[in-house]
Order: sequence, then C-alpha cells, then structure tokens
Amino acid sequence: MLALAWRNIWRHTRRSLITVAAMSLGAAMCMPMMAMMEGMFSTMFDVAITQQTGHVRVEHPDYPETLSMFDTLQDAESMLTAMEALPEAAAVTWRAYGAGLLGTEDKSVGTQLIGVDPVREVAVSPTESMLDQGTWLSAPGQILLGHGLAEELGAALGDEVVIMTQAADGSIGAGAYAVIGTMRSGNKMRDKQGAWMSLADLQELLYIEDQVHEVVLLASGGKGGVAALQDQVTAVAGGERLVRSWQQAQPQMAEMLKSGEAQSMIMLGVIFFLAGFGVLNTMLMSVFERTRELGVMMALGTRPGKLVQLIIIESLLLAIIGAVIGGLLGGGLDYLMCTSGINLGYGDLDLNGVVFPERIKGIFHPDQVVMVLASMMSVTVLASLWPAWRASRLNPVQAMKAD
Amino acid sequence: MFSLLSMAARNLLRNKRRTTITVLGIAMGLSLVQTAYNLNFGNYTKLLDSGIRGTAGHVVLQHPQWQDEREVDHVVENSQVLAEALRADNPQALITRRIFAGGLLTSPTNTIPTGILGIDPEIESQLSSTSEKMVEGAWLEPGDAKGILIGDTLAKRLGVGLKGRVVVMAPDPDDPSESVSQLFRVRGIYHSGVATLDNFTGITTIEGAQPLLRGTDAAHQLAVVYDDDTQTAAAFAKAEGMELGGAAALSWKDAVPDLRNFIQADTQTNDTFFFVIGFIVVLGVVNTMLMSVLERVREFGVMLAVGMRPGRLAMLVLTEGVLLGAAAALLGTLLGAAFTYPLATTGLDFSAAYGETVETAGVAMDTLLIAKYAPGRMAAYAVSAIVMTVLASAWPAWRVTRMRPIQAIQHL
Amino acid sequence: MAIVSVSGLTRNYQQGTHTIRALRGVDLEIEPGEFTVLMGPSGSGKSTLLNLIGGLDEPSGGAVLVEGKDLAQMSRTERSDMRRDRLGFIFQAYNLIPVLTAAENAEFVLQLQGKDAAARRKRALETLEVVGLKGMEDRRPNELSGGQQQRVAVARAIAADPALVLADEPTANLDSKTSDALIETMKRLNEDLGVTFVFATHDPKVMEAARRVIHLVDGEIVEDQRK
Repeated sequence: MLALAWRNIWRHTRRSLITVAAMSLGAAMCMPMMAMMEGMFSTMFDVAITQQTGHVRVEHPDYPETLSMFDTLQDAESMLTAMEALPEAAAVTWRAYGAGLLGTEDKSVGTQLIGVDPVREVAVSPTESMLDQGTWLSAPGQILLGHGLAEELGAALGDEVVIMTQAADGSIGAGAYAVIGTMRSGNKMRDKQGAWMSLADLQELLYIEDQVHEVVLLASGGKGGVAALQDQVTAVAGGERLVRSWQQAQPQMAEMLKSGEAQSMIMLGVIFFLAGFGVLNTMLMSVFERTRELGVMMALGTRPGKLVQLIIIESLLLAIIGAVIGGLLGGGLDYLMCTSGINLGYGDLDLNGVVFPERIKGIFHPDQVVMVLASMMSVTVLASLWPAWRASRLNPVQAMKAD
Repeated sequence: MFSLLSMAARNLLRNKRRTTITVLGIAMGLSLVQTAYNLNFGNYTKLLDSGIRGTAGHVVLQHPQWQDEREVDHVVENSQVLAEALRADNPQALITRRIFAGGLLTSPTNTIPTGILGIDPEIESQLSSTSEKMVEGAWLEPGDAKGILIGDTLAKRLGVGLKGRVVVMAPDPDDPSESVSQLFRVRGIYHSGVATLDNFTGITTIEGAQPLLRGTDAAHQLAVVYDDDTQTAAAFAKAEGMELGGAAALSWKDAVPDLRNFIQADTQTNDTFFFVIGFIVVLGVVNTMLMSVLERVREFGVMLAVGMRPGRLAMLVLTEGVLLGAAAALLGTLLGAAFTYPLATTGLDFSAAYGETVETAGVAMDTLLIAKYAPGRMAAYAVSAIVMTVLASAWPAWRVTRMRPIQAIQHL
Repeated sequence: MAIVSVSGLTRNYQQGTHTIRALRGVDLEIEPGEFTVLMGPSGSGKSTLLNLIGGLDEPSGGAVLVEGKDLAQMSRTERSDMRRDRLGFIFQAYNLIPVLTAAENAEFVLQLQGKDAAARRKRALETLEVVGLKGMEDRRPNELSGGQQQRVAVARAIAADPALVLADEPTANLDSKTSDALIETMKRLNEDLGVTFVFATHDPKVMEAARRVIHLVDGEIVEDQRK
C-alpha cells in the first residue's frame, strides 16, 4: 500500500511538486514569523519582567501603591542569604530606588535612580544586552546613564555628574559619580530618565543604610518553576512582606503572552486553511483521473476502505515531503531570523513602554517547528478526506467504463 | 454565438466543483486580507488622529532644533503674538500652544522626576481626551498659573490628593547650576491610559509653566489643528510665509515621525503576510489550471490541427484565468465587506489581554479595534487577486503554445 | 494542378538508441476530386503519411507541397493558417469541442477565419443539413451518438470549402450500419460537390468505396491502384 501510494505520487511529478511547494512555502514562512513574534515577546518579557519584577519579587506590602522611598524591606541581608540558599532559586538580587536631579556643569534633569548590586544583578537582568556603551558597574562612585538621559545632558563616558536629592532624614543628599557607560535597556522611561548606580552608593546617598525596596529572584525551573519558587520564598520571607510572582505583579503581561500564542495559531490556521483549497482540488482531480484504475482495483477485490486508506496515505506522503522541505527551508530562514534578525527599516519601535531595537531578532523554539508541521499535516489529511470518500463510493463497473 | 469569452466561461462551468473550490479558495484569501486591512485601517486612522490632535497638529511651529533635541531651552518666543497670527490665517482651525518642560515633583513623602506639560486648557480639551478622563476634581481653568493636574498613579506615589500641594523643582532657566521651586495646588486627578501621562507628567497652564522657561512669552510648540488632512498643505504654505521670528514650521508628517513609523512598519509586516497568503493560494490555482489544461490535450490538439493559432489558444486559457479571477474578486470582496461589518460595528476587543489602552509612540491606542472600510485598498487587493490569478494561468497558457497538434491527437 | 505533391518523404523516430523509420521515401500526388485510401497494417506508415500531408508533422527528409507551396518553407503560423484555410480534418475520435454545440463546432474554422456571425451560422446549418443532421444544430456533443458526432466532424471539415479533406480512421469506432451511412455521406460529397478525400484506414468498407487505393508496407508504397 505504501509503495503503491508512493509511486502514485510520482506519476505526476510536476503536480506533486507544486502541491509540496505550496505547503512547504507556507511552513517556511510561518516558522520565521513565529520566531520573530517569540523574539518580540521575549524582549517585552525581559524589559517588563526580568529587569523589574523577576520571576518572584519580595517587597514592603505598601510599596507597589506608594512607590515611596520609605516603604523598604528591613533586615534585607539575612533574608537575602536565606533566599540564595533556596533550591528553586537560580539567582537572587536586591534593589533600591530613588529620584533626584542629576546633572553636569551645564544642565541637570530629574532622574530616576536605580540602585543595583553590581555582582548579583548580572545574574538576574540581561545586563550585557542592556549596556549600550562602556562597561558595567564594578566599583563605588560609578554610574550608568540611560542613553536618552546621556544625550540630553550631553554627558560622555568619563564625565562626572552630580546628583542632588532629598534624603530619608529630610536633608539634601548630594554625590558625584563617574559616567562609565550608557544603557539601552528597552524600557523607554528608564532609557530617557534613568540612571543605574551601585546599591551601596544609592543607600548612602538616600541615607537609608542597608534597606532595599525589593528582592528579586529567578526560578531555576524557568517560567515553569515559578510557582514552586514562590512557595519557598513565601516560607522564608515571613508574613509581613509581599511576595508576588510575575503573573501577579504584571497580569497583563501574562495575558499578552497567551494572546500572542493565540495569534500564532490563528496565523497558522489561516495559511494552511488556504493552502488546503489547492490540495483539495488537486486530490479530487487525481482521484477522478484514476477512476478506471480504481474501478479495476475494486473489481479485483480491493475493499472501499482500502481505497480510502490509499488516498489518505498519498496525501500524507505529500505532507511529509512538504514537511521535510518546509522544515529545512523554514529552519534556514528561522536561523537567519534568530542570528541576523530582520530590519524593518523604520527606526526604533515603541510599544507600551518597550522600545524594540531596529533589528528585531527571532528566538527559536522547537514548538514552532512542531506546531507548523502538525498544522500542515492535519490540513493535508483533512483535504484528502473528501476525495478519499469519493473514491470509496465508486461503482466498479461504471468506473471501469470511464475514460 | 461563441467567442473566446464564451468558450472560456463554458470551459470553467464544465467542472463546476473544481471551479467552485478554486474560486472559493481565492475568494477566502482575498476576503481575509481585506478584512484584516480594514481592521488595521480603522486603528491607524484613530491613532493618527489622536496623535496629531493630541501631541502635535496638522501644522506646528517649533524651534528649528526642537524636533531633534527636545531641550527645554529650544523655545519659540512671543508665542502669543504668533498664535494670534496663526488664528488669523486659519479661522477654521484650532490654534494652541504647548510647553514641554521637566523637573522634580516633590511632596512631603516623595520626590519624582516628571515632565511638566503647559497647555491652553480650553483648546486642549477639544484636542485630547484627557479632559474627559478626570477621576477627581476638574480640568484646569484658563490662566490658572498655580493649578496642576496629575495622573492617578502619580498622585498615589506622591501621596497627595485633590487640593494637595506639590512643589516643582527644576533647573533655573537663566542659570542651570541653580534651581527654582514653584508651588502648585492639585486641581484634578486623571487616568488617561497613557503611561507617560499617568505616571510621569504634571499638567499645568501655559502661564504656570512659563517660569520654567527662558525668554519672553516662550512656548515649545504652536499647533494648528484642523478636522482632517485636507487643509494641511495650504496651512503649511501660509505658516511658512509668516514672520516666524526664528521658529520653524513643520507638517504633521515630520512632527510625529514615530507614529508614522509605527504605522508603516505595521503595514509592511501585514503586507508581507498578505503576499505569502496570496502566493500560496496562487500555487494552488497553478496546479488546478495545469491539470485542467492537460486534461484537454486532445481537444486542444484538434483545435490546433484545424488551424487555430497557438497564441489564440493560449488566450483562451488566460481568459479562463481572468474569469476565475474576476469571479473570485467579486465573491471575495463581498465576503470581505460582510466580514468587516461586525468588526466595524462591534469591533474586536483585546482589552482582556492588553488592558484598555496600549501606548505606542506616545499615543494611547484603544485595544477595542474598530474596523473602517477602506474601499480603495479593498479594490486594490481585489485587482491584485485578478492579476495573480491571471499570472497563475500564464504558465499553463504557455505550455499550451508548446503543444504540437500531432502529439495531442496521439495522446491516448 | 495536383493539390498535394510529395517527393522522397521520410520520417524517422528515435526510441532510445534505436531509430524507427516510419516512412522510407514516398512519392505521391493527389489530384482534385480524388477519393483515395492509404491502407496498410499497423506501423505501415499510413497515419504518418497523412499527418505529414496535413502539415501536422514535420518530415525528416523529402518535401511536401500543398497547392504548390512547400510546407518546409512555412513558419508554424503559416502552416497553421494553411490548415485552417485549405484543409479539413476528421479524426478517429474526440473530434468535437465538448463545450460547443453542433452548429458552433461546424462553424469553428469559419470563426477562426474571422467571418461574420450571420454568414457563419448560415453555412453551418447548410453543412449540417448536407450531412443529414438538420435540426440537431443546438445539441452538444454529449447529446449526439458516435455516428452523429462524426457527421458533425465532416460538416466542420467541409464548411470552409477546403481543397482537401484528410480523414484518419473515421469509421474505426462505429458499428457497421453507422459506418456505412457515414461512408455514403462522404461519397456523396465527393461525387456531387467534388470534395477531395484522402483516408488512412484499414476498414475494408472504406476501401471498397474508394476509387484509388494506395498500399503501404513498412513505410513504402508497394501498390497504387486506381479503379
């Protein structure tokens, strides 16, 4: 049966090739597109989640509402040590936030100050990709400016900037720092108005001693391990502190990711639905052409069910070939999408506070391949059902007279 | 009587099922493409409108360097005088002035860096929807130099409510190494849906913001806003001809490039997708037409034998393609119009996933997408469908010209 | 003047490395008014010869002249036009265009020639009447019997007043009674209207009706009998 089906396909090489071409093209187009969407969502996730809330975040219960300098986590150090020991935690860091007037000799601007642990932060945020120019924090007295902020101030690497702010005790806090780099984090607000400095420096500036505003953790099990991590963190953090997963902190992001998946499915559905029309017609005609031959098979004793099988197997084989070619082609395009990315040529794209770089890179996930190929196979088989059914309804005598 | 057209039509009707499936396939593809575009078009139109009206104008006057460097110092002086001149030239438009400054908003409990937006409240309320999004208190009164409006998130963070006091600390316009402080009272609290406005902006009047700027009667932007784009060219010409005192005139296309970029990028992505769809459908049509042509090898052979020229036979096949395309274009457009209808009335609601608004290029984009009929574009897609179908029949038509009557006759 | 003049005609086919010599040098002339049969067993070359005379195929060697013009000197388009204007064809089967009515099939060549609709219609009805199909003009081929279809083919073949009608096994798919009737029709056309016919066939009935029988064996003329 398999051999017969295989040979039947190749009786009409060109026709089969065109059918295969349509399917593999659809597949080849879908894969890089899905990769691109994945890339975009990943960037959004990074900017909105990883850089801020992590997988799990611990804060003073009032802080999310007030964002007040005074709503801090006390006794953070011992908590941090305990967190780092948690089996489900892949990385832990802590941060403090403030605001001040940051400026050069000529100009100063209202700035959001982000105090990070130079060592621990690297394991949590994608600091490498966030850095635009210069190097990451390594010593006290250093500062990184959002690239928009640096531009506005006309500050370059090596320049010194001064920060003036209101400290916790009501006095004016002031400090001078060396600009050792600029940031392109993707977070529009921070890139325009933010500055990163070491936690210790900010704590000193704001006079908040060893207090922090948040402790942020990444789960060793990735997105899937968040629930487990949250449980462990809650146990350690104690009742007075607010422990939230990223889904709780940013419910919209969770929704958006889900909707992104739905969008991919719809796109796949549409493409293969339309390709299906071509397959349907082709198979119908192919069955019709062979009426006599199929009639002979039935006369010789082949059961209708077997004929149905034959037609379906033929279309499955076509689908498999399409899958192989489409997979290779799509895989190639996907690879290009993930390494070089695609330049939409319209400058930075700004969506919901996230700034996407001009060159958007895709991210590969085996699911993409699986989904695409599965859709293709199912549509092809579905399209062959009607022709197969018609084949089974042939009357052998009339069929043999045909043609 | 028969002609190429009549023969082509009859040929297509020979195998009604095949023709129907082919036409349906193309029509479905076309209608999907048209509907998707109409949905986007509705979105873009609204976006552009809010963007132009709310953050710029059809024509704007700005400091020549302000578009590239939004420095607080890049002001247009004597803004009132210029505004009057613009009003005289554009009696049917709304003329407004805007100031984009920045500083630290401080309250007893918190200090937050924000932008300070100075507006003409009476006119601005007609241009942007923020005045309708007040949660507490009221919109600003003209001339109120001490009043400020803040977003609900900002209010919470500062820990101030209605009638509360905030101080704006900013660099002194005349001596940047010094700072100035100004006291404001919160007259109202709003929720606009644009993160920047809600979290990082304080809105006051022109009079309230001018102390933060250097120069006489300064502002950053004068905007001329019409109801639509039709007057833009004329208004721009008039503005350029004015005595601008060093300011530069721009049309909206140059004033809100981010928005335009977003729309163009989105359109391009969609067009690529549409093209892929078209190509896949066309491949299906190619196969179908090839098979239908090969089925008729004997009949074509006879036609060539009795003296029909190959070119004419090819025209027959192409005509079949044209008819298929035309039928599909008609059906597809009807379906497209039908699918668009519910989207144009009820719309597609993404608010569950994205919240009520999504901010892009500084403008709040509604997550309830409402489609708008774009007949010109729909027609263009329909025509493309016909063209693509004809192209799909080109290869089969070409193959027909290569047939030799004798091979066809012997083809048993 | 002879309508057709063939000299030294050869036709070879390649089958892999093997060369098949379908015609090995044929000389022949067809005069106006003939009712001639090319006969021979399968593979004798009779169909090949007929196709070459009709300009449907190209020879490997030798020449075919139709009304004095050398087919080899013509372009594809000129040959196509020659067939349209000067020849009529009847094939064994599948003569008619399925989507056209009997009248439309009959007037097909006239349409190719660009004749106006009224004149075409008139002539079509005339020819259909002559072949005995009056009243059937609006029927489609699938509404006609095998014999009737062949008659329509004859009507089409004569509609444009060709110099010569070439028929390749016209009776092969018909039963004996229908065969007889068809042959009778063609004979009348030849005798009453002077239409020249050349057949390639091995139907003995056609041979009987013919006034000249040309025997072919293995690509050569072995006998040329006039009655």
